[in-house]
Amino acid sequence: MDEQDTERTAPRQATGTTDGHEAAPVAPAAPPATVTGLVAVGTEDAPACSDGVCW
Amino acid sequence: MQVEIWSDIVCPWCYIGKRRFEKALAEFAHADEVEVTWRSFQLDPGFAKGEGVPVYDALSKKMGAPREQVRAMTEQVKQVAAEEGLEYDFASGVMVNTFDAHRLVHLAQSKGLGDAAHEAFMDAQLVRAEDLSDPEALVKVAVEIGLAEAEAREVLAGDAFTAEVNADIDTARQLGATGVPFFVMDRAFGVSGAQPVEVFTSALEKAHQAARA
Repeated sequence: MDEQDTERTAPRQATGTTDGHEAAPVAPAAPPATVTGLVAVGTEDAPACSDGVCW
Repeated sequence: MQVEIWSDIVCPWCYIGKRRFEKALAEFAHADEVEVTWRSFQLDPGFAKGEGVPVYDALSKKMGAPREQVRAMTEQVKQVAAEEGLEYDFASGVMVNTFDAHRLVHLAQSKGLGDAAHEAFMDAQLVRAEDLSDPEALVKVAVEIGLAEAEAREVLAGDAFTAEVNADIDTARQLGATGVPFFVMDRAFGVSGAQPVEVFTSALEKAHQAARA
């Protein structure tokens, strides 16, 4: 099964105007932190460990 | 079917999840088509290498909780583990940095011994309460599963499989895994946590059907 392409870019955004001048556009928003493309099976609250915490 | 399992040696829920997955796999009609690959994950990558801290002390410090409270919390996990035939020993256990153990698991995996290695290291850590911050303890486990002592020592002395371990950790992040155990079937289905056996059975069947579609 092909892996999904996780690359995304967001459109550039202007911050609005100040002193009658258009502000420089901000950098594109970072892509989502996680794009899994996986179908989740099971309950979300099954016990697991994260950040060194397992209890 | 490719099943990848992200797990850490020190992870009590990972060992429980392993047992439950194994039960599901044992009953799965197409188990002979399943290839399992263990992927590295570190719950506490910042833990100092070469240092072992008693489990209760480490947890007490990390969680800011009294030792007795930590003991009570771990008791619940112990009971669940016992139901799966795992007798955890947290009282004697030692928290460690698991990176080198993961490198040895990768060495084992390269020789078709990945599952045996992950099993042996988790048993050593969680049941036998061995101090895996000691390279001699790591070598002992490696030899137990059939790895050559000299080769295990060579890996520990160098940086072999460092890239592989880091790649596993990066992939987990990309797949959205925030905790372990994390099971992925054919990079299509994801199962997070120590789910009941029936969930693993369902995931295996879904993945099998999807692969045939």
